Amino acid sequence: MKIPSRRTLAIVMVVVLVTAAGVVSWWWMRVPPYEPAPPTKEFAMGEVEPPCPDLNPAWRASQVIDDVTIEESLGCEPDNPALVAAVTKGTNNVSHTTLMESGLAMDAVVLENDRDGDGDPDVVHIKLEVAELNGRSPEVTFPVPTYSIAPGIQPGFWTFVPKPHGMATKDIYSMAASPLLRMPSPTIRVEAGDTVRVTLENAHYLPHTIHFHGVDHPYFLDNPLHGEHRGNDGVPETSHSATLPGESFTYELTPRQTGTMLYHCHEQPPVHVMMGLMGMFVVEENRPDNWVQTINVGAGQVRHPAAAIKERYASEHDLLYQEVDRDLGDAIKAANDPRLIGKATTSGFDITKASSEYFLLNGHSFPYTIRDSLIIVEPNQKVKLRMANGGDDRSIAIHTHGHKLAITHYDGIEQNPTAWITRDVFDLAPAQRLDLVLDTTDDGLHSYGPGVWMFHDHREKAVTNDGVFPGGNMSLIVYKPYLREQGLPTLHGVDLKPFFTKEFYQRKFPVWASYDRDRMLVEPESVPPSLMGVLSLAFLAGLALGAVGLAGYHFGRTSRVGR
Amino acid sequence: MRRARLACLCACLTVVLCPACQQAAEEAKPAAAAPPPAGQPTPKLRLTEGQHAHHEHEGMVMDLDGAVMNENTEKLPQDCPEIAGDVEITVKAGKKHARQYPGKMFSYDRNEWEAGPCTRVKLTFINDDPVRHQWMMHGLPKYLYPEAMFHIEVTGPAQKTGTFILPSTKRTYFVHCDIAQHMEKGMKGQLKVAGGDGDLPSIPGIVGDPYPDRYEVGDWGWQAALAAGFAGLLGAGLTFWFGRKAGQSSRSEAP
Repeated sequence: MKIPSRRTLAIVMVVVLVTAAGVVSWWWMRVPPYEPAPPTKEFAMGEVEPPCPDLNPAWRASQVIDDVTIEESLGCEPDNPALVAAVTKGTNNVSHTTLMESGLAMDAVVLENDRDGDGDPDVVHIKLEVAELNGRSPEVTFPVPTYSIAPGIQPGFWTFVPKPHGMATKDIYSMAASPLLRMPSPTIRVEAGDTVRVTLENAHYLPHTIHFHGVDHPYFLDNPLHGEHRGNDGVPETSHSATLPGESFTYELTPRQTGTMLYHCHEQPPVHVMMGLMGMFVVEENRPDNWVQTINVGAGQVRHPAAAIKERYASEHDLLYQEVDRDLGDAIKAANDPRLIGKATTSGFDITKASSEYFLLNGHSFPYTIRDSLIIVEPNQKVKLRMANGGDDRSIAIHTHGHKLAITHYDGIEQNPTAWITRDVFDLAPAQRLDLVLDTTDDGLHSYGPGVWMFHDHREKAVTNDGVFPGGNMSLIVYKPYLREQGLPTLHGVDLKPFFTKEFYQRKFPVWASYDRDRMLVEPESVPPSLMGVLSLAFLAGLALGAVGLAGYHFGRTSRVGR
Repeated sequence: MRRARLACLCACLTVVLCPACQQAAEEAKPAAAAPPPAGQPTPKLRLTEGQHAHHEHEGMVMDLDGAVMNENTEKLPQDCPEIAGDVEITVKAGKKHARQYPGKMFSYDRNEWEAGPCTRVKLTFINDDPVRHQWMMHGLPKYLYPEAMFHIEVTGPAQKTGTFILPSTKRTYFVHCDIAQHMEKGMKGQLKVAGGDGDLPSIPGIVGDPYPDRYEVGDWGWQAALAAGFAGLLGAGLTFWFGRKAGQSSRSEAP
């Protein structure tokens, strides 16, 4: 057979190439025939936690324990009434049963000495420990003791705790932290003119202090009675060195002015405040027979409001907003040696490069906020809210749906009522406080009428849990007719179940899954790889390879001929 | 070591998962408090100083210094015909006892104690710190010790004494302080009866951690580098030598 000439070969080659290129371009540029898009993906929601575990239904009713009147608290997780009684009457004055049920040590809140003879104690001695939540263990891989801010979310925290007795966990069968060990640090509440001694018993493995922010306290303590002559401001650089692990330090103050203030650790504040060592400190007006609820664990509703509050308001709530840098929280999980943790939380941490992933209202993020941070109201009431920003961002911007609230106090100082500002977004710089009146009169200004009204930060990132909405510091103002038996509101919107799974906040299933009945918005399945795409890519790669080979062959020949 | 680790894991799992125990705990919950009497004036609070210097309640004896839980001075374990003898153990607790263990913060003066079968142990727990510490022992027979524990807590610089009677079994009992991060940071020990049945993990000075910390690795130094070089050469030489030997023998076997 005659070997075709090089020219013929070249022509055939060009024809083949052009045809192939034509087919490939036609394939890619054509309008394809209809093929159904991939079907909707199947997904598993994961285990759904009960929205309300309903552990202590009897705690919700108003009741009297050891002569302490405890107001009703109809939410899912009300404060333990025995605890309220113990911190109102004093752990030195309550019955043994109440003390045992409170979980407190006998010397946690000692109330004595009615100096002015007005029927209430005027010398208060509070003992606080520092506890670590979600810390490291050299024996297991999960955090201990565990404290969840939302389903499956357990950042590391340090928190002040009224001195407990017994274990750090709920019971010996559980790894969950005992109810006293939680975020935020508890609100401390005293009467103006009381002598308040606060002992920091540092049972934690790093140094700490307490600084009373905005609360009237002497900078230096000259107390011949107790033989004390030392700093009292809680600032290690100026006042006194920090309290080392296993040591204790007592602060003393007799606040003359009332108001909503703060207390926080002032050792390495960029880390220690952000780790959770900040709580509210409220000084109430001095009245006769005024037994105040000295400690409000987890902040929130005050179940035994002070006399002056009861005169003017239907109920009182402490609202502490905080934010969490997950990386900082994780620093305490990375090692067990206090020296390594100490380094990771000082020179190893740079707050100027930090960011926040979680946003807390009273130690919880949505959906857990609806368990213990509902504001439950009836029409024509006035409710006292004390709001504080424990975070580090430029400001928070709390917005109330359905209501405009009046600001009565800034940083604890009462404004002239003619200067009260009524608005629906409340901006608070870090460490600022506002006292607000929530007026439920349905007049189109203060309230738009009964309902389930959300209140939340209007920085949109703050209503997410690490970017997943809904989460963060949102909670609800609930009018009583909308409240169901277990303290959860009747909701008319979407099913909340998905939000009570870990998987939702791990981005494992679509946000509209719960109510997209026809499954038309759930994510699509993946598609198989396109055969034409693969073939044409492979063909193009083959052409390129052939061209390179050809060029090499010719180059070799010409160089040999040239020699 | 592995056995002890397994034993500890089992103990932990039993404690966490045991549903019967949880049920028992649920049932033990106190009844609801009484609602306020309707139509009656609000009771008036009064100061009652010094009313409760000493409490006793469900196996717990408590005062300002602390508490002793599940003390047992007389009741014999089923397997003990009589009390075999009396021992006194004194345990000191505090930060200063952790100085002997770098990387720990709280500890007992010793982290292992021994006692004979069926002995009556009088335990004195001395707290050297002005913060709470505990000596909590697990694994005792439940019919004598609720929740299988004997527990002493001292709220500050003070001491408390409590007594318990051990069963006859050869066993290692788990002892710790259950204040957040105290066990993790060194306050853990073991009480061995008749020599015990192994060691528990993470006992300062005795057994290491299942998940130990990683520390910064220092420079090698020229000696280590040289030794590593020699080890490498040795390995290469051995391989070469064996390879040659193998090649020679296969050639010589070939027909």
